[in-house]
Amino acid sequence: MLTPTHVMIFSLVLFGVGVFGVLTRRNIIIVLMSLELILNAANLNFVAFSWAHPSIHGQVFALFVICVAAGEVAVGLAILITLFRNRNSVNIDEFHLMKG
Amino acid sequence: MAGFDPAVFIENLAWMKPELLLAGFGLLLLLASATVPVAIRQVGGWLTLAVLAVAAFLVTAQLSAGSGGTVASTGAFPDIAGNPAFVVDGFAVVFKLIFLLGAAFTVLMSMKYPDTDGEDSAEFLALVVFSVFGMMFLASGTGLITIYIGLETMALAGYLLVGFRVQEKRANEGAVKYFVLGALASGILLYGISLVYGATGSINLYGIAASLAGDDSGAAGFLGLGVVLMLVGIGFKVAAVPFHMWAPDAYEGATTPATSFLATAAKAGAFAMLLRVFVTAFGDRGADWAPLMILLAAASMTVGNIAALRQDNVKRMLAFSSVGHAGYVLMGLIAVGLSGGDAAIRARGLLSVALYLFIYTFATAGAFALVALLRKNGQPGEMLDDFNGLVKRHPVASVCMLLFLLSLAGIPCTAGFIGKWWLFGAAIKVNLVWLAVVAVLNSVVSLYYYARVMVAIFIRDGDGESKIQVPLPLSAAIGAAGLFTLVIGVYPQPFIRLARYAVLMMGA
Amino acid sequence: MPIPAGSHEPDPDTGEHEMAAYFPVLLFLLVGLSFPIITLFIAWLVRPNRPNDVKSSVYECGIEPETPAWTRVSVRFYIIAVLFVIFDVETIFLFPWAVKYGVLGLFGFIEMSIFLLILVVGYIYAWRKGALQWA
Repeated sequence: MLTPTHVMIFSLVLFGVGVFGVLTRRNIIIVLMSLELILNAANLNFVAFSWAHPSIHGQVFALFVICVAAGEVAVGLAILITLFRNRNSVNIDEFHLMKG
Repeated sequence: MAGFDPAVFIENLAWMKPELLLAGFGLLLLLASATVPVAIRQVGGWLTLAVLAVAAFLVTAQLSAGSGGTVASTGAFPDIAGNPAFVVDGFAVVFKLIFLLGAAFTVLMSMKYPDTDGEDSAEFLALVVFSVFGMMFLASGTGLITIYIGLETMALAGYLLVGFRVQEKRANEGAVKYFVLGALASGILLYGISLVYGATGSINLYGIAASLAGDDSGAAGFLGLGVVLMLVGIGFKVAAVPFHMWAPDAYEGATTPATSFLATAAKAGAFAMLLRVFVTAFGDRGADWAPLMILLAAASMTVGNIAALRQDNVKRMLAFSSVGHAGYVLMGLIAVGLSGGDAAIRARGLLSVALYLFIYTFATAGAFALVALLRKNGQPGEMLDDFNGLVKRHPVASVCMLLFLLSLAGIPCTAGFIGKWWLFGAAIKVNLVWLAVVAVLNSVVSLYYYARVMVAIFIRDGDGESKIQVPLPLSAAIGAAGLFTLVIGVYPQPFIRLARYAVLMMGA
Repeated sequence: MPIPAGSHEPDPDTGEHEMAAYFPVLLFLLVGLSFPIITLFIAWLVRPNRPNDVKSSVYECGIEPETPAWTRVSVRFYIIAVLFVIFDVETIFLFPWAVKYGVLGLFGFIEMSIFLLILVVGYIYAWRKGALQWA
């Protein structure tokens, strides 16, 4: 019924949506959410391949990725807050102090 | 848990002494910052330098820790198939020394520098220490989990280093751009790793190599996509074109010691990872990924140098120039990829990468140290005009800057020439003469924008300011960098011998 | 596919599908989704829609609205939330260790203690820097 291939296709779609979100969206918070989507797509991939092989390494890797993603979100939001404090906006179009 | 032996684990830990030292010291810095803030602010810099020196000593000791006093070539923390996740070999030792060198310059620059000498100076040092700690796993790691976590540690600390000046808008902007693109790169890299895992069934570089060795028909279709995505991800970290967009903004926005760290140590870390992964895991398929890398190298050299021509901000100019240098370094990796089993070419490729990164670290750290020198009235001295008439204000620093810029351009008698000689020679040896020609042309182009700085220093007149007060650590940094740049240029043999250890990559 | 506990293997003679036990869940889902949709739809069909300025303005207990509806949320909430996430992820690593605690023995205990100690250093740092105050 459900095979690893289905999960792979789904994670590919998630990955695509995530990359599109990071590259396209103006609101940085949405960009952060898209980054999480990408990481979770990779997680799904790991679990799907762990199911397909079968091997436990994929699941172990997924666990570590969850941990790393949490840390990354903390850092990202901290940077975002310092940005917001200085500028009162999270619209990425307004950040063009540095040109060229 | 059959097969797991605590005694072996502890024995393996002994191979991680430098890393453990750095991790412990980083934690100590945080604790000290929280409990004895005044004391740690005064001694933090010197203490960090001492710890970095001890770590370098421990790393160098591994050069004779193998059996019979030769270079260690040991794998630690093996997985079920016996593939080690952490490896100590000549390659790891050389790259760890490069990281520690870059970090030492950063720490020297950050001492008595207004941005990083305030209340949170200990945090800055802790971030540098943690970042180097992560980098060491990029040099030594051969299990993909180890490598990925090392990469993320290095990167997260790096994002915070760039955003360290929370009041400064350009720092915020640079940090956000670096973070978004860096996290995107990590995500793409991770997805690529997952595809490679799916195609080969292993998350260890040796396991992947073993799985690919027996299979001539090419594994599942997504192996190719996985490798490409991994290259894209690491390409971001190395700031190769077309993934270099974050570098100018991050370098310009960050405070100068942090910029130097990004340009020297973080770049070397990303290259260490690139080399480890592509030589160990995908070494057999070199002919497959080399064309992509040739594209990256040629694009980086060209775009980096041409974009640098238009810059008036010296930090931004150095950022684009470092993109160009990344292109040169990629040539060494291409030589390894196309060596096709020829051990001499492979050795030359690895040696030239390690040698060039050493030389590049000295010159770039020195150049940024000079930018740090020019700081006045709370403004960083990073515009080209700030260099006007420097020769009258501080002749020694001006001569050193001349050395650094000539080295970066690759003029004979400086270290940069030696480095480029080896790199371009490696490209020629694999019949990529056109690429070497492109590299030489780009070096000539780069001479033009380096010359703009030299003209400003020596020929233009400044505002008639008096002599600059240089803090001791900064002058030590500039002096050391200048000295090595000159010495390696005229007598490179000891460094070439050191870089030769980088050829000894275990099991590849 | 995992089979829900307490059910049985599908019988091929009767053409029973392996997901048959989940059929009531599907029914429940459909009814639950359709109920609000249908009622709101019927209401939308029936009601008049004649907006004017006074009706569309923001309601603030009968008086004129004075300040914008968005207020600044203090950053302390973010700090507590992110500290929670970090320590929650630490807990994720505690679970497998706890499950296999007997097999891991003293060595596993010491190793996990070192891991926890590292996080305690982070906690002390956050505490002394005032991250845990007033929220």
